[in-house]
Amino acid sequence: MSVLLAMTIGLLVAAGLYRLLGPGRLDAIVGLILLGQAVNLGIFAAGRLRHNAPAIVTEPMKPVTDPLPQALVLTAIVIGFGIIAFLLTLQTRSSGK
Amino acid sequence: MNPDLLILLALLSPFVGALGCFATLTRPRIAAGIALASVALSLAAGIGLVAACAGGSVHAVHAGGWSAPFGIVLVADLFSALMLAVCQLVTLAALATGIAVLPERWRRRHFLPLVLTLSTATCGAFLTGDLFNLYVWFEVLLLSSFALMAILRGDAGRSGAWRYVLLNLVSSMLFLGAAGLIYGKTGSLNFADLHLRFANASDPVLVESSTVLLFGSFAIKSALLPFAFWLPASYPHLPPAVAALFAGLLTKVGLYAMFRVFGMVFASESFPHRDLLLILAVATMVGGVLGAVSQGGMRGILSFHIISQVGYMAVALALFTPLAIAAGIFYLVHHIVVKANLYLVTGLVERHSGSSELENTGGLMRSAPWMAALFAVPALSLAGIPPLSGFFAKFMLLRASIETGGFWVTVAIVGVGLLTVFSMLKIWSAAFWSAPKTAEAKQKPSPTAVAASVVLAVVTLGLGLGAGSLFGLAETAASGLLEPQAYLDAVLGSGNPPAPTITAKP
Amino acid sequence: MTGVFLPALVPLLPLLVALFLPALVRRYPKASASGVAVLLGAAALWMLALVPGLEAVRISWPWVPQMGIDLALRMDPFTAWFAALVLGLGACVILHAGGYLAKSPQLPGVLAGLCGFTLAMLGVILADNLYLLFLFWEATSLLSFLLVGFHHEKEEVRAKASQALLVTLAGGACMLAGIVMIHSHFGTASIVDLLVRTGDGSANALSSGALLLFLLGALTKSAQWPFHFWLPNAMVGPAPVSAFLHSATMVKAGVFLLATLAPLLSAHPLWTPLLSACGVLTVVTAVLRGIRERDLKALLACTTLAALGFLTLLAGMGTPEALLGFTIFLTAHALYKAPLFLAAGNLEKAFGTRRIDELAGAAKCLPWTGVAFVISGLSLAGLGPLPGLLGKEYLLKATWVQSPWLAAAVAAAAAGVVGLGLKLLLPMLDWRRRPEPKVAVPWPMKLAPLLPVLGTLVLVISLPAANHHFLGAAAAALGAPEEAAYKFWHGWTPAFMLGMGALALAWGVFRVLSRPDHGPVPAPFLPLFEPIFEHALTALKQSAKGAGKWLQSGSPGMQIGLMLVPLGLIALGGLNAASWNPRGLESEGGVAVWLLLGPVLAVAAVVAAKARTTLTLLVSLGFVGMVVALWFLWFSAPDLALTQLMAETLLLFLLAGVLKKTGVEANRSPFSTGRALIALAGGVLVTGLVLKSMSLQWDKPISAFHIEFSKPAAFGANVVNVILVDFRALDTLGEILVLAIAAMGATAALGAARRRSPLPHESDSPWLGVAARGVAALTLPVALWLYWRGHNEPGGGFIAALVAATGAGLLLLIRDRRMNPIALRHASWKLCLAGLVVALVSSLLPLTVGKEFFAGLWWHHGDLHLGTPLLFDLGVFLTVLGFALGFLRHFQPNRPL
Repeated sequence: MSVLLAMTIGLLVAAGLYRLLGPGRLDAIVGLILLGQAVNLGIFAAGRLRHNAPAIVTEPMKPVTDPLPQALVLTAIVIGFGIIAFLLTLQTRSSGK
Repeated sequence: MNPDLLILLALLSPFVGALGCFATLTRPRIAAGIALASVALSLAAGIGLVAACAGGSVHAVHAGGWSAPFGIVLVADLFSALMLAVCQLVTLAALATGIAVLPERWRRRHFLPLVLTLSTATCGAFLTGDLFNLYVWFEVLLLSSFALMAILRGDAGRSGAWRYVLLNLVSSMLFLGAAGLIYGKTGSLNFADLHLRFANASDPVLVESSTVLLFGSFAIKSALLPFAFWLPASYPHLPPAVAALFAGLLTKVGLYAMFRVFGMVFASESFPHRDLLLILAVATMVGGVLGAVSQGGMRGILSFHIISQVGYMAVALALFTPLAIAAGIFYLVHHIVVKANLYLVTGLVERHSGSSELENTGGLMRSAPWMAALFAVPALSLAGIPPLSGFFAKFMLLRASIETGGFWVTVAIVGVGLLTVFSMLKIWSAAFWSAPKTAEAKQKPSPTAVAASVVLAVVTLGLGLGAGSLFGLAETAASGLLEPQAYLDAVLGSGNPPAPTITAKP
Repeated sequence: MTGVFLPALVPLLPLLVALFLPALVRRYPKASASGVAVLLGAAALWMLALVPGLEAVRISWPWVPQMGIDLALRMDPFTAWFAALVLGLGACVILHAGGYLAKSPQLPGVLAGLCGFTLAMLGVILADNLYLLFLFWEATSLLSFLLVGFHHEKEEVRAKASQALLVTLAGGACMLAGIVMIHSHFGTASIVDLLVRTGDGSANALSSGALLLFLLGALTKSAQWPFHFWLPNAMVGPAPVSAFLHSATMVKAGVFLLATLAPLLSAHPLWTPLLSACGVLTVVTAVLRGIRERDLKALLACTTLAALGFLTLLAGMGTPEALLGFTIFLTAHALYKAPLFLAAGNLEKAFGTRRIDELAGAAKCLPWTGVAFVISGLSLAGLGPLPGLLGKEYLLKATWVQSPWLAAAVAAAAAGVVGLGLKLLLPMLDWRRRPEPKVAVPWPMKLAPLLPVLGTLVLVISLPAANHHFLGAAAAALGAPEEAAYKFWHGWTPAFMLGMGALALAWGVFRVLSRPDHGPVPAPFLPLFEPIFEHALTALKQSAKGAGKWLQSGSPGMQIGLMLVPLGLIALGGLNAASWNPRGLESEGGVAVWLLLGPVLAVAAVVAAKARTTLTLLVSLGFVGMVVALWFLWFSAPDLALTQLMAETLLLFLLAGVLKKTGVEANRSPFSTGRALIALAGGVLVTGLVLKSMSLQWDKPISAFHIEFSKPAAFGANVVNVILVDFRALDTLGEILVLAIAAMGATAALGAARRRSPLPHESDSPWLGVAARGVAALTLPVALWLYWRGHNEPGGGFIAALVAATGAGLLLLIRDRRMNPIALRHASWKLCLAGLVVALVSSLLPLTVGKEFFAGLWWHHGDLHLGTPLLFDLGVFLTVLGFALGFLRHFQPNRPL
């Protein structure tokens, strides 16, 4: 399973890179979106995968998915979102004027 | 004052200042006052931290009260403190100049809050003791600087800004990926903890495939060749006051990260990718200076010189002897001041002649000899002429390279130094010595801008004359990187290495 | 003890005056120059008075003690003697400059430059620490650049001054490297301490590279072959500057350093052959070049080159006899060269030309200048009992001891120099011609060349007395035998015979040369090195152009490729090197879910990469985002899944808005195999990296702590949220700062909407309006609920804010009039600000009660836990909402472009 997930991440990276290396600005933005997804999945996978584990700590303690990569990915999603949104907005300017 | 409070003051004062400026956008005078005061306060805190850390002691703030490595730590050692102080000094100078000379459009468009968030991010990057937190500050830094660039008009400027943000976002991706992979392998993000885990690892080579991503990320940030394309594309379009800020800060934060992460966190006898760094650094020195020679305007020349000088500092890290690291730290401190000042002087030239393209300037020696003097100080320092700070920086590096027996490195250090002279000479010949191209000065010099430049020139002179003391500090800072026991103690508590078992809250 | 150095500080005084009171200098040019000259002259006499009986002294203050850089000065009879020469000639030169440049507005600058130059040269002479010497060394290079470039509006002057600077600085840079090596070899950078090591054999072991580098500095400075070309070119400077440069300063710095270290370093096998060869070749070059010159100053420059060659030769031999010759040669040359140049300046001023043939007979018209010129010229040629003759005698004597053949060669070369001297002198004394001076020469210019001539005469007359106390003492301090004494007559020694032979030869040479019909003399050494230097510069500029172009061209995509490919290759190496075990991979969760989600993601990703139309792109990106969200959900990360879903939705909304507004086709570029290959390689590499990371874990991760203490210490069951708002709240603070900056930056870049856009129309369908308003009204309570439960259940400030923003988006869709741009901008601005303030306050509150930054303050009531982390989350909520509103405003349907 891990192998399959890793391959999927690789595929996302490939798609993102192809787009990123392209000539247009929109290409680059789409590439960054795809790469962002891949990196987020990668970080998440680095924290080991666990299916059907509780999302919150309970009594008695059951093993949960490593929460730290999740927090990191959450932060990364938000930051990436902010930056891409900003870039997109600027796109309206450069061709709008 | 309590060093812990100084750390918070240094970081939060520009943060609060940014909020203050953001809130008072419609009242430029108040906003300017807030901006200057907050950076000055942060500068004072930085100087206080240098004093507090001068003996080699390290101070840490455990955010949230969580013991390291579980929470985020803000750490001030001498290296951080020096970088912080000198960067805030340059920020203050550039900010004051910007307030005085930037066109209305810039001031209206959030110049002040963006500079302050930039400054916050710089301080955050210098103070953080956590890999992921460093990433967050990098993003704040990137977005602040890009938002400033986005104010630019014109196709060239906008395409430069685009290239800047795009290439730096690649750096962010690499950083993020590396942080994730490194956490996956080592299970930690804290610098001190990572250092110990890495040192205890059965096979340190295991981490090399992820550190190379980190290396690439920092290489882009610090503009090593072939990762520097964004710099010459964007900097020449910026108004000199903004370029001064960027030139002083951005690549240096990247270098700081390189020194901190590769020189300390992942370092033992050597560090990953050291040979690669040495090769790239020499290539950067040479390529950058050649690029500078090819340029015909002050802005372009200076932009390429940033790259070239980054090569010097990276060489210092790659040589990785105590002397070399100390030389590198000395170089960083010196270079930040000098490069920012050169841009400020470019601003003075542009205001006077209406342009800083060499073919459109001339006669400044006659019409504004004081400007010649203001240019000469940082230019000679950049070129490494004694007794200015740049001489000592280059000299120490030269000595370190001779001691390690690196023939080509030595040749490059000497040769690139000469080419630096050559391009400074080009500026001098064309802008100052040649016959005047315009009859009258276009605009009167702004007293604030002149004062800012004078202050930085005096600091350059002071760093040269006080090279003994500064070098003492640089040595202490370098040994703090190479033998980080004090750092580990301050972050992890003196009982380290901590058992990787879980400990309760303090 | 330190008092002996005081006269060396005298030039500082006028330097400061000229720098800070230029108006004063400009107002009284002659008086100020004369005043400075008197001051320096007095300092020279003071210094001279110190020479007899001076014990070697040294003072030192630490500067950068760790690197062996000290502010260390030394003085012995030789350095004092030389310093006195520098000060005295400086006085003459400044006196002259006061007249020569009386009308120039740049006089204050030149005075300051000359005083600075004097100071720098004194520094070179008196420095004990080699690094300090280097400092003054570079200062002389720079100051001579400024002085030579006096007429800097001329292109030619700038080029030649720059050439001189580059050559000398290049040498200086090499010398610095050499000094570092010498320092580390001998363990000291102090000249006095170095000389103590004389004869202990340590110099033999010095690496040849170090010696060569060191010598490069001295040889370039002293304009030795093959670096001699800059010196004649530096003639573009005004006469007093040339006089100073050629007599006592600048070029003398190099030979001074050579002679100073000769006793120690001449033990090295390379020293003598190298320096002798350079010296002799320099003389030959100078003579050959001088034969062709018709310009007075250029001819003088050639004689300087020749003299420097002899001095280098003497320093190269380094024997006590050679150093004895060195001292007298140096003194004699300084004393005759300065008046020659100053007189040349007078002639140029008076007659408006520097061509020798046009100046024939000029000596008669300017008698005082003529006297100075002729006496100095005689000294130069070694005709008559003048110091110049002494210099040549002792040169030949020292060389004869070394090797008779060398002595013969030197005699032949000297004959050439004498020939040049005759070429200078005889036309001046031409009785048949009498050119008319066009301009009167002011008295300071007449006086200035006479003073060194006076010095020459005094030296000759008082030779028996001066010998012991002054010259002899100086030479002895340099390394000549003790109790040495100079005298003209030594008997019929071989050296004397050689000298006589040389004189005869010189006369013959001169006769041949002065025939009007002789063609240009072939000069094999002349054109060689200057073109090499210039070609090197051109080549440099060419390659620079290439480098600059390479760094500034290419599409961003290509540049990213250039950056990533090398990194990928290295990362690949890292993968191979690792001995990681792929079987270490844990594998939870079935393959089934992958079979469900994997192909969808794969197809969507490939489609997104290739999508050509807007719709395909949006749909495929949407699929990618949704599948990633589902994946997060499957692997027990509901918070992530929610966030991903919300962020993805908004992002697609924005993307659609951009595409709609800009009308850009999604992908216009054709398929590229290269790109695809790089992309695939990158994908494979990342697969490997992820697998490797997943298979390795060295220690227990720090998150174990978070899981264990989330509930008991941070009062939250949702560990992810607790990490975000408590354990790693600082990250989140940075994160919301990013969002606020993005909102701010968008406003900054696009400009605030200053005019109210035309009042938006309500939606066409009233039912849609009602429905949308209803849903929008619901989003706020839902958002608040999500925020509230976030600490213990999936949710939290970020997700809550995005839910609330969706409500606002709905209102935008129906063109609700509350959603006008200005209102939105204000709301965005206020919410971002408020959010950041709340977050900051929550982080600072604990400080007021003496707890750590960001520490949680809690108030417990039964199961209810209220604390600052919740407040912080509220800050997150507000900021994110503000951010989202800000961006929605840019894409609202009714906003005009």
